[in-house]
Amino acid sequence: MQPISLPDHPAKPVTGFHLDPKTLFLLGAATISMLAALYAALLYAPTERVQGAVQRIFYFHVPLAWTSYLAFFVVMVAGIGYLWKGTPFWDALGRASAEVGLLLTTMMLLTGSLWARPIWGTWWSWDARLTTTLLLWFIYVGYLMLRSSVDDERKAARYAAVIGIVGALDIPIIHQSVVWWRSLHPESVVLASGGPAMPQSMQLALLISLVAFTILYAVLVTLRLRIERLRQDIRLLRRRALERMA
Amino acid sequence: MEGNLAFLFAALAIVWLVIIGYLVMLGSRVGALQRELDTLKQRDAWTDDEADPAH
Repeated sequence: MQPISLPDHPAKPVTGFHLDPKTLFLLGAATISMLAALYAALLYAPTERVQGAVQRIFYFHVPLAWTSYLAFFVVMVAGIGYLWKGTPFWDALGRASAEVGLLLTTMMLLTGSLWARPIWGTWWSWDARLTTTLLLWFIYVGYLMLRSSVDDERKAARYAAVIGIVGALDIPIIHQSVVWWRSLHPESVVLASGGPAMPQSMQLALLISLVAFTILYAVLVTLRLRIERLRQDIRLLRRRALERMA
Repeated sequence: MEGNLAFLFAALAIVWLVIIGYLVMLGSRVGALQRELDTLKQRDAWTDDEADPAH
């Protein structure tokens, strides 16, 4: 019997924190950029005249929204890729991005709620933007629950790919919700017609934060994807062991 | 407006704690799975040697 041939990636030696040099580099870049984002949000950006210091939540809330949309867009692309090619990579990418996206959306909802309380006088409002975002959150909770509840891996991957594609259709609805329906949530100040409706220092602080959170998303998905690939390799070895015993 | 600082720091604390916590969890999951894979590989190579002593 020939020794099993596995891809190189899981066999690489692991360091103290079980990370390879490429991931460590990405993690370093994410840490530095996140610290820069913290500095830009708390010290560099000017205090907003009406809302005061609490407006600085904006520099985390908006990048969290952007990265959660990015995550679910990647889930959609991975879903299309899996239905088209049927390779485990696309399934693993979709699963990894869905979990990270759910985490980012949860933080987006929490930071939004903490911003809403002093400004709107309420933690939550069933307005169009918030409700469609909560719907997105539930779609991806369902996506991950489906993944863990269906035993047949291929069937679960196919169902999840379809949910990932359909779920992403909520993103443009969320974005346009403040335009289509009356909403407590303000319209986009960044993508406003006629350019961003804020001073340049605020724009720069937001840009730094957007870059930082995008790098962070890349790190989290890379790590989560590694877990999926390790699991795939373990399943392969276990199947092989079972075949030997049969 | 000064009272609003508590909301700002609560939001910041949530973001940083969740991110750090998730990173630590991912790191430990990678480590545990890597160890499991290494064990399975060793067992697989050992079974190969046993099945084919000439190998």
